[in-house]
Amino acid sequence: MDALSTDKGQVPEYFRYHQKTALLRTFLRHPMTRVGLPGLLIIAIAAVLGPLLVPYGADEPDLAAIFAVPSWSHWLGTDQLGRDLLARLLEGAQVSLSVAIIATLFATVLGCLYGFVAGMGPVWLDRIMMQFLDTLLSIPVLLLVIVAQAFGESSVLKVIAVIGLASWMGTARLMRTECRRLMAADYISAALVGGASQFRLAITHLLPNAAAPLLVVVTVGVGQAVLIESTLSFLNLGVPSTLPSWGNLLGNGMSSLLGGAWWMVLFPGLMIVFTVASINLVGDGLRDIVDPKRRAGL
Amino acid sequence: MTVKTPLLSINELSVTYGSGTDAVKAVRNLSCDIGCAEVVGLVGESGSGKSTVAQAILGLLDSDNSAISGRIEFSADNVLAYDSAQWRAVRGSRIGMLFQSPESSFNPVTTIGEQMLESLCWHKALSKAQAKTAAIKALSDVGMPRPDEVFHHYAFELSGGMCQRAALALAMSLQPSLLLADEPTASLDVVAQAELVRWMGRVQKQRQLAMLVISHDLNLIARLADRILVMYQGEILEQGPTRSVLENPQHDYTRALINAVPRLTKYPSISAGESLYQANTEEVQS
Amino acid sequence: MSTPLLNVEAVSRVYHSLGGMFSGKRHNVRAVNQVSLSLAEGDVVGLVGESGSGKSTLARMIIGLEQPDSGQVLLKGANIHACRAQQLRRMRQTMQMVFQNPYTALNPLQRIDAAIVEPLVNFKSLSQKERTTVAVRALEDVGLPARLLHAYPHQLSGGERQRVCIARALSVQPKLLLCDEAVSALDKTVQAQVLTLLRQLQQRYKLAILFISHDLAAVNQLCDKLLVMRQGEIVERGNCQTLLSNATHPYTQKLLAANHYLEGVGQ
Repeated sequence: MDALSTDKGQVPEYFRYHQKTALLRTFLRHPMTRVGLPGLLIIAIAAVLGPLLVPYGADEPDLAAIFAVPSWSHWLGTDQLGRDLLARLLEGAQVSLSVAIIATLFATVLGCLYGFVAGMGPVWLDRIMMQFLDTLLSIPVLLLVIVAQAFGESSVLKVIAVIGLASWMGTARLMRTECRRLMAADYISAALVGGASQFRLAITHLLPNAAAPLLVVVTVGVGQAVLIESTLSFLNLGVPSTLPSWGNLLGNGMSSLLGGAWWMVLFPGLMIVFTVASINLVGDGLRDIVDPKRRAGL
Repeated sequence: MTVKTPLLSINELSVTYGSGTDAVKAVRNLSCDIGCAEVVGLVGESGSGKSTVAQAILGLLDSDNSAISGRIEFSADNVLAYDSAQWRAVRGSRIGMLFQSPESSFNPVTTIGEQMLESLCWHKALSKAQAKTAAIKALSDVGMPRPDEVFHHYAFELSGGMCQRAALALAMSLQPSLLLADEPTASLDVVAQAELVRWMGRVQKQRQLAMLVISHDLNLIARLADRILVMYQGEILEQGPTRSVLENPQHDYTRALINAVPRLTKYPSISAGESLYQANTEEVQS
Repeated sequence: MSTPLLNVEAVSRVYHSLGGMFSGKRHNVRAVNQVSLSLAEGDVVGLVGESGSGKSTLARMIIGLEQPDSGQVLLKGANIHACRAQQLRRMRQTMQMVFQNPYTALNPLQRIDAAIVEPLVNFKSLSQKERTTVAVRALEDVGLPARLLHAYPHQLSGGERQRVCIARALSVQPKLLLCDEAVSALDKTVQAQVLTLLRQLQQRYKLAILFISHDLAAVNQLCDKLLVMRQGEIVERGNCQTLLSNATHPYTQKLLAANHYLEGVGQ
């Protein structure tokens, strides 16, 4: 019977490659990632270290150098108070990115909770919750945000809450679909038979198995949040105008554009485009390796 | 049975997956001939490399990921040198295929009939009316009740057994000279298995079809094959006429394979294996 | 007579489905129709039938994954469909299940040790060390080496996975094990090994097993009693050996004939 004890060695060795390493390698070699990831790294390093390296403070007026054209002393020029634009952009990166990231995390948590309840609950509850979601989705996000922002004082926390509340729906829908799909799997039935609670089911089985598409949505969501934040601040509905977020810088630049200060619009604009494009490229790279249909040959 | 000109001739076939230190030899030096109207059974456990053999014969191996050496000749033509256009002409029309999952043979959004018409019109250049007659005949040839009704059904509307028989009809409608069946019964229940096997046998006799049946199920192979190849970890351990392999297995592995299979009845004429089988059941019941 | 371990009383389940895509004709399928059965402790009962005969639906109702339309499932005298979720969860310690497909029955992202102790952890809090001890012993029980503790399911063969599933089901020391086509997806030789294992475990732990299969040969190797199911109804029942040699219902005879045909008997 010796030959039959090979029940253990049945799976050929080539199936036993380390899937995680292989996935990571594919991700890092993906052309989208190869452009996007370095871009993202540059922005992150600039946001953290930049303000320490630039010799000017972001709120340091220099009345002798009002509206200075980009030059060796002020690489990206100065604004109407003579503040260095590069210093303000780097400071703004911290504001814009942290607002975007925190808001997206908030939206993710909210969306996941909603998705879990709809995806694991009874069918009637699912119907009601999805109907509600569809209704929410039919309202333009910007309108929602503008109305919300019109009330009360503007603050960073409020912007985060508003962006989060405006962008959790996609995550909720994804999570709900993933839950419905995964709930049909045998291992979920097995977990239920094993006496798992709903909470345990969600945390140990559903969340890890839905993590891959979730990661894509979260990544792209950060990019979207950067855009919403910039739009709001540009319209003076975002973070307090004393903070140099990219939207604020852009809005401020617009009012000076007629005076010929092109750099005050160009550089914040480029910064936003560069950031969002990098994030979206990384998101596309993630999507390609996460979606098994596109992962032929792996 | 002496084979004069083999229909399919495999010579020293080796398939290696991966490269360098990760390289795995899935098939090692496999040689075998299949004559016209001969049924050869390839039996082995999962992971023994038997499906790789099927993929190699059909030219379905991913050349980026695997290296093939040796020769495969179909009607004295080296198929390993085929390009994709030549493959399209051979696959389906001269070498028929039957896979494990019956649904995978059919496109879920077209009816069984439409699909049969499409392949008949493409490979055989028949008119639509001729093709329809041929398709319905093919369906009734595999014992399909009410073939003209099944013609208008989608694959998912049939039971697994019916669907696999429709897949057999689809393969046979093009009148191939070789049918390659890779675990055709694995997803069916016993009743459906018996029906499929019965019709496969009947079609084979009628058409003088050569078959390569690949399975882990010795019962299926024993039922259909004239000759058995026993495969283990990429190598052929034993081959010979079905009866002599089953009644007088030369290799320990083959013996173990025969004895370990759950059966209602013993092989009627295996005298050596009988005592082993009984010992096995006693061990189970003690 | 004491209450049997499992008592299924006249359980029925109807599926509603649309007739054709456009015909709009609704027709109801009686997946399970007035099925009654009972298992005492240590009973090994086979339930055979073709695919589509309602075996799996019955299993899912017995284990509490689906609600019956009528009838009741009594586990040690308590109706599992009438009690609260919390109670049902506790009752799951008595009754466990092994699923058909070992490739989908394990969470691909959960390591083997975590999978095995998961049901146990739901009922008891265990330290990391205790978990490892339990998992190692459970692996030993099903004949797997301890080195697989930290493996992921994709690194295991089908037979190994099914053994892990059995170990997981047995971790809470149930009295009753439901096997829904538990060996059908495996190679014939591996099937024999898993059946042998089930028999050994049954004797060691005095388990009651309800073994659902389409394969009479597999059922014959494991079971003492036999139920034959057709189109949602049980058409014949009795002792396994006598029924196989002396089947009266034409459907049982048909199943037997299929097995015999495949095995090359009576050519």
